[in-house]
Amino acid sequence: MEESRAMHRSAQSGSGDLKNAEDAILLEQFVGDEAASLMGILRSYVVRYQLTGRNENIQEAALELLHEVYIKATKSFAKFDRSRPIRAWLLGIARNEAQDKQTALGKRKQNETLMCDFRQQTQDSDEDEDPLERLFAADNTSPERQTEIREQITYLFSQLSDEYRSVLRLWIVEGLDGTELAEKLGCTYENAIVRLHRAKKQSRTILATEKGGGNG
Amino acid sequence: MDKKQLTRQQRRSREKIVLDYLDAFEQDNSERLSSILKLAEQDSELESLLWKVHAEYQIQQEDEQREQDVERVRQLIQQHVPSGLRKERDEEEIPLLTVSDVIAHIQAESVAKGENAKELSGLVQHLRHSTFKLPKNVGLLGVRKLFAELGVQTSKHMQRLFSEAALILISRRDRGIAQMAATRKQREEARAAKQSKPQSDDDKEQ
Repeated sequence: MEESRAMHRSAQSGSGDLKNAEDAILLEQFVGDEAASLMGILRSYVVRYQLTGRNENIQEAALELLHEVYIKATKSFAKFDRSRPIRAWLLGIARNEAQDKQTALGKRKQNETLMCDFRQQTQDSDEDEDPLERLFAADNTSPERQTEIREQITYLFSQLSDEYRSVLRLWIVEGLDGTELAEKLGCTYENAIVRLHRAKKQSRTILATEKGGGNG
Repeated sequence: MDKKQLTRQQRRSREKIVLDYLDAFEQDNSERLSSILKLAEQDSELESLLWKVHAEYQIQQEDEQREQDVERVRQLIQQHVPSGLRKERDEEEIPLLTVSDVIAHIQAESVAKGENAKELSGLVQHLRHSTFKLPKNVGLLGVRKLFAELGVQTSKHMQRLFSEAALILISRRDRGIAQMAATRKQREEARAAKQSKPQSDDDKEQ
């Protein structure tokens, strides 16, 4: 709370554009209420964009990022459409700030693609967007293809841990949603979604390796 | 399609977008992230889901990192602690660690204060006589599984305390085993040296 008040004062003194003090207070309250989640998300940005070289400084770097996000948000809060959800907006600001910091640190990788490359990439990624679900949903194929698919699925499941196998079976085969998945796994809803993400990620790696091995 | 099915389908659609968001975040795909966030600005349920799942994602990343650190430390301890004899013989002499050992250690160290002291005293009551052996994996995941098996609910902070205390006790036990092995080796060497001497004494007496 102390920190957010300090940020508020800093935003006011730094900005000069701040017309509505109530906006800043509202924002401060929101940040305060959502502090734990917001800090977790900002730490993920710090790690993702390599904003610090040392693990022990991650929290510090995240606090610094929070400060900057807050200042940016207070400056533009007046223009923000209050009827819209605020979190997505803050996530956007956080991401932009993290990318700017990364650029400033000189660590921006050369991964800006040309529009045509991006379009191609998007097309490719759309095709492979969910190779798992495509795999399991391939009903109208030839018998040979179906055999191939069955073998791929058997191979995939043999390579996965028990936990991930279970998660994927529940999501893809049994078609459960997140709430049902969480109930089956005995965990929170958010935990179930993250586990599913990790299971799918590992599956894509396994399938990609297998494909590469087959072609190699 | 009835209302329940429709809600369920909508929920699953949002969950797919959230999964896509996590992929885009890991791949640093700015365009995809932007488009998903724009979508979330129009959909408060999606927005709330993104926020909570992203926060949980980071918690799990940090937990995993911590597990890896614990394992690395464990390997370093094992690597640098000398041991002379076979492990099985050593382990017979020093009993395996149990859940009650770890609970007693935490209590003795008085690490917990305030709210955690309350939780700790609850745990102590429940597990102070537990002869349940510690699992091999005493990282956070292992501890979580252990408590699930014991039918005990604990906070993440208490799980961390337990994991740290277990690691300390395991390293002490490993050191103890190594010391015993070294001592035993010394004794055996001394005995072997002594056995080679008495012949000459016997000869003298005769």
